[in-house]
Amino acid sequence: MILKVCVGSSCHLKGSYDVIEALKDIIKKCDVEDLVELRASFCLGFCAQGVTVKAEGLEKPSVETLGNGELLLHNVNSENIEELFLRDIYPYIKK
Amino acid sequence: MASYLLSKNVQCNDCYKCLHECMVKAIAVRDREATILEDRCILCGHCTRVCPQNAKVVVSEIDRIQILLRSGKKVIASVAPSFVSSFGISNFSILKLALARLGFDDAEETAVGAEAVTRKYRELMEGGTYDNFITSACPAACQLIQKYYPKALKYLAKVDSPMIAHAKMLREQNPGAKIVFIGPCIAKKKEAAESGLVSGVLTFQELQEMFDEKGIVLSEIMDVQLEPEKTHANFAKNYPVSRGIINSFVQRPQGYAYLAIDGINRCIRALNNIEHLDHVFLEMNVCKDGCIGGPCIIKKDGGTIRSACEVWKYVDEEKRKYPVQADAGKTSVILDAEYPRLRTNGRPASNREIEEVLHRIGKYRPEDERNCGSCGYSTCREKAWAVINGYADIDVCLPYMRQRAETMSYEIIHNSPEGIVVLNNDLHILEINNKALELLGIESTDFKGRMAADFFDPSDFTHALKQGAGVYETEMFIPNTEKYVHLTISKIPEQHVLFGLMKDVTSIVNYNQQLDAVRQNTIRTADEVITKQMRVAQEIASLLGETTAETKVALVNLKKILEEDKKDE
Repeated sequence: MILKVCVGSSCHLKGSYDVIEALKDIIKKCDVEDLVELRASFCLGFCAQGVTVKAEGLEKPSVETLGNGELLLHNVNSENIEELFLRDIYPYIKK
Repeated sequence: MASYLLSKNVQCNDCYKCLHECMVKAIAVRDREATILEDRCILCGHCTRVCPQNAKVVVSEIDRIQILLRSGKKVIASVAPSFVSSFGISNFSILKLALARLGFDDAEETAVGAEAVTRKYRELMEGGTYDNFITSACPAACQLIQKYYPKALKYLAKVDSPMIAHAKMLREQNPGAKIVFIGPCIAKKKEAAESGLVSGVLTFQELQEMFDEKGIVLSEIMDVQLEPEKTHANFAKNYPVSRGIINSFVQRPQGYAYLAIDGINRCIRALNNIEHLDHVFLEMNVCKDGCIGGPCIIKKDGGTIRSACEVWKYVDEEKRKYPVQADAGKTSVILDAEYPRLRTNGRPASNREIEEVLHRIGKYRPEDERNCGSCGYSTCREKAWAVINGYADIDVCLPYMRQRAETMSYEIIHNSPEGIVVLNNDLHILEINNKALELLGIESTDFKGRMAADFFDPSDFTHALKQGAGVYETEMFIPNTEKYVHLTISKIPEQHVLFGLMKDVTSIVNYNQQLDAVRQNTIRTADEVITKQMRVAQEIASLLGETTAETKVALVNLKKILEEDKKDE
């Protein structure tokens, strides 16, 4: 499963660097380092919706935003990312 | 998914023993019913031993095996070497004869497979790719690592368990034969079903049941030697005891420290620290003392210590009889196994979610988290995690329930509109509520445990005590506060306590007194009126009498004068 954090200029200014750092910790804490690949991505095209994180290759996304196992999270920050990850991504990571 | 371990549908009696015992928290207790979470369970079977209601049951395969035995196919039993302690016999031929009577075509000790496994371990260790080496013979330990310790997976020996190895060997020698494993383990049932190589697993307890049903008594079977002569001693018969795998090496590969980790607590501790270990050979057994302490052993006096001695004796005998062969366990079958990572359904909880749950059970500060473990979870945070995942009811928290119960009864007693006095049989004060304090005029706050006589006259309580059983009722005047109370005293014999209920009747008594006064007044007034009337009547009568007499005299005089005037004419 690939987790892409947008590092376009808008997201970068809104703190996507902190989100990446937080995600690194969370992935380690949850013992899914072998299942989740964390990547930075160029602009995902949602500049008006805060920092955006895109999950690809989920088993069945909880919120069907894009279908085909993809999920978009908007307005992400280092505070709310843990809960978003645990609730919307962790249970749907492919085995 | 097939079930191997079930929680019977009985009303759980709130002991949470299974949850205490379950180190991976694979039990959900909701609405007073415990269910096993199959995705989390590693089938160690330890919960089966602690349930006071015996609600955790191993799904029996007896019926399936009996059908298999009647099917006419060739069925071979692979028997775990711990049979020595469970059945109390040291001659495998006896068991073989007994199994033949049940319908098995042949039986062999799983130790044959174990020997090949040990050899494979040695090859891998000498290959130098393992920084640490964890044995994969215990299926529950494998599940534990696969589900909860993905970091340790790279150390887990990619080798079949002795059961699978033996099944592969038996199938090679007997094409088309069905293999039934017999051992003390529940986790083996799952391993067998998923392997597709073993047709079924009987636990020792299930086998004993089958023996009992057929009336087979092992001690009555002739002690003959049926086993073919062996070329060498099989060290792998050590497997079921702790350090057994380590001792199954005729010569241990150099470069490793050899440690036996038995019992799930020790396994978890070792796995938590696995990253800090270097070149350690870990013989992992989820059951304490190894397989001889398994969940489905047949319990004997002397426990696992005696069982271990019996297995050691059995191995010693083997060593005495046959020569040692350094290159034992050669086989043509491939024993490579894959232990993939397995994922459970639950998810970790975020700090915010955990705190939200903790707040709901009255835990606001770190010191409120008492981690008492009475809910079955070892910490309050773990319990909160279970609540978030839907595995536990939130209000099952002893300190919280106690606090709630205490505040409720305290509030009820102290805000009751009637006075409550509780004395023990020696007339010491146990409890007095606010209303009773007001009625009795007690201002001191330091009354608990002191003599009631220091504060009020407890003679009614003494009477009640003497009266024996039943309720004692009386009216009582309290001079201190000039209050009248209706006192009901009941005895609670099992607690040696007198319970007094005081109802303030002062207003009723006062009203009655006023009513009395009015009545008296009315009577007095009526009396006065009667006397006055009588007097007046008598006075009027006397006056009337007097005037009538005077009139009579005057009229008589007038008549006399008139008569005298008539004569003169």
